[in-house]
Amino acid sequence: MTVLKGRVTLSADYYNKKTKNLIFLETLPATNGNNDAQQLVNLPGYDRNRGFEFALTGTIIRSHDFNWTATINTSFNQNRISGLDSASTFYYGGISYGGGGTNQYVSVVKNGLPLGAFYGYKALGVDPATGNEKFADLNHDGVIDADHDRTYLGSGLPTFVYSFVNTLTYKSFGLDLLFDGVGGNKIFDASAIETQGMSSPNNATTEVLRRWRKPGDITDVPIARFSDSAQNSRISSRFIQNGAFFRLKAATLSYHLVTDGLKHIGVYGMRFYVTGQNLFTITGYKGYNPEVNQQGTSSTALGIDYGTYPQSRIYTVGVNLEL
Amino acid sequence: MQKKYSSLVFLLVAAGSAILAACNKTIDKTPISSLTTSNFYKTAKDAESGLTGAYNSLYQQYYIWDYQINGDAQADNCYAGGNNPDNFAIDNFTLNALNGNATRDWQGLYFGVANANAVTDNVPGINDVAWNGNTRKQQILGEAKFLRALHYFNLVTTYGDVPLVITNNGNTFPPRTAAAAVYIQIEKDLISADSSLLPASGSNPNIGRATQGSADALLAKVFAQQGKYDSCLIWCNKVLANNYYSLLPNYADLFDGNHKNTVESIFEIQHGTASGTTSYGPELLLPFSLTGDTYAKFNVPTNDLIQTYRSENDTVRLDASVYFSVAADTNGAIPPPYTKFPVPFAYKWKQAGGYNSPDNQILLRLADIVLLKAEALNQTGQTALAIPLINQVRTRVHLPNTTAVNQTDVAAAILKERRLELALEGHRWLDLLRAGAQYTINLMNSQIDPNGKPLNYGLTTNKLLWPVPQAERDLDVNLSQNAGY
Repeated sequence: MTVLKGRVTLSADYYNKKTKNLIFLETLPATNGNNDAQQLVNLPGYDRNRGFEFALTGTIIRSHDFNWTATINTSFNQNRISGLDSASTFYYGGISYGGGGTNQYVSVVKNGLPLGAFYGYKALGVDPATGNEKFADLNHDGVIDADHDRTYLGSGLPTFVYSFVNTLTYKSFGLDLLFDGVGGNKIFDASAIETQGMSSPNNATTEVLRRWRKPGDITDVPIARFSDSAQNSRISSRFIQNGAFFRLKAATLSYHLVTDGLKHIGVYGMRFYVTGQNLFTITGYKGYNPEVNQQGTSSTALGIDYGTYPQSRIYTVGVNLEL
Repeated sequence: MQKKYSSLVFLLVAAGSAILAACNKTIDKTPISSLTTSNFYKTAKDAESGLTGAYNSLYQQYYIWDYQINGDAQADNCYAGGNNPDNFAIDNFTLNALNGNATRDWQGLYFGVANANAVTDNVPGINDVAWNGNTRKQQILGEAKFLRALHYFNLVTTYGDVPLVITNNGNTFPPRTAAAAVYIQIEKDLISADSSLLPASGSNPNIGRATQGSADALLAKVFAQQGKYDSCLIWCNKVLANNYYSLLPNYADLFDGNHKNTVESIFEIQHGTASGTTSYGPELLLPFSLTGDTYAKFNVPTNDLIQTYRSENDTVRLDASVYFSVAADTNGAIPPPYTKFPVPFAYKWKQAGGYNSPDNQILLRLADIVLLKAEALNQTGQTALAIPLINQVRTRVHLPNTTAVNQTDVAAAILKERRLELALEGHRWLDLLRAGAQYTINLMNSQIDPNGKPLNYGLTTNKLLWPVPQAERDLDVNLSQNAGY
């Protein structure tokens, strides 16, 4: 849809896509031999993606010296697994620490949940009496156990993704700004198991300075206890954070010079520019970088931060010659 | 035109549905370009390669040193030492289903089981002229069964009921099998191995391979652990009747790194200097003063063990087993609960080699079986016959005969003798369990540190078995958990 003499273009799409017969890898128990042996499985249910996509492009200012055009791309998506046997749970996102071997899984594929959902215990904060993390007893049997007290803790899949592209020109100056961001997703900060777990003599982050020390202490960091016998660092909502961010992904300032005097050596113009990447990020996420994926491009283990590298801020200065 | 188009669509949909309908839950197409167990085993040579693969599972963490942690640090012979919280959890009986060692041992032992199963699954179907007129094919199967039995013995004594997987073509998500049934399979495998293997290591051209003696010695241990001392005695006698074996005259020779595969050795894991055969274990045990390595050292002998050696004046075995680091060894960290030098360190493997030790691991040796026979005799009321066997082991290390006479005292003397003879070799925990669950609980809960303070282990009946690793329970919905975890 285009209005205002072509100055504003809006496109909107709605989609509702069911993918049946998804093929994915199921990790097999060690009784099958190789550690982390996998078999290809045809997902008996289906994965549904449903949402809207908008793209709005407009020329905000158009004058002799100054032009400003902008594009906003937004998509809202909801992902759900359906049609699976409600009793079956497929585990992904294995992390290993301590003695070695995968000893905890962070994500699951399970009926009614988004693909690669975080799955674990619901943390209720540190017990002032004992210094241990309290966990919700979901089936009210008085015991916190893996079979009955783990639940959906959020998804690493964003529910909306957006970008905001600006191109501004003033006489021979140009400014390009690219903002982007995501929202509605969670991050599982597995790095914090190492840096805040206090179960081994390793470096820790300053969060542990406010750990529980004596009965009556009210804090969000449990007791320091070698080998973590109370499993305070089990997979739980304690390590789940909001993964939303808004970032100035790239900004380029340029100046264009028409160089008539250099035509005889074949140069018709020059463009000087300076570009900055990842100039700022607004996020509530406390790890190094909210754009995480320990498991690479896996679609079944998303949003796990386990030693993810921080984003580097890059500055580039350059000259383009128009030949 | 419109009609033509829709019939084309119909055809495509029909073809697509046919393809989809052909897909079952599991994609069973095997890549034709890669070697798999099902297309690998064709000749006698392939069978030998598969068997070598099964033996390679002895180069994993469990057999490098975890069996020593589980056998000695879990018991009263060693403190965890080192810096791994998971080892401390084993030492202090605080381990849980997320414990990294409990996870890796389960995974590693089942890896070994699968490698042995690959041989027992596939070798029976091979026919090769190389096997005409000899029994090599039966030996290969016997060796694989011995290895499988060894892994299962370690699994069943650590975790109790465990999935019994004796073919790689079975249930992908097996439930746990009762420990008694697992023991029956172990016995079956070992008895089959006994009848198909060569008598002893000297007669097997491949050093380090399982022999009839290995199968018999393991059978003796397997029956003893179930309290079936009559059967234990039969297999001890068969080992002792095997002319190949005798006690080395000099105890220290067993652990000096220069006497490999001796006449006392019944099953020994082969390490060497060649790439892929070295062991990183000894570097993790030996102190800074011997290795120049400041890394915290593991499996530190307890004060209680040292005092037991000293009260017996057992200098031969103390000197061969323990090295004392003194204050002059700067940079050497003092492992807790020790607070000052001299500190004892495990010394039965003497060449660290910068995490590349060529020292072998003796899993089964004759002195173990001599004392096990004494135990079996004493437990079956033949105490008088047990005493000379204790003395045989004591004489070698220049100790006087035991003064124990009655059944109770002789049982205690055997337990102590096994401790001094076999310390650090991973046997102690099972020795204690044979002495009784309550005995073990009382003994461990009365342990004191080198300064006389209680160690407060808080061992309970449930903690005598390890938890089934939670990660494995996640992957196999049929795996139940042990009580108390």
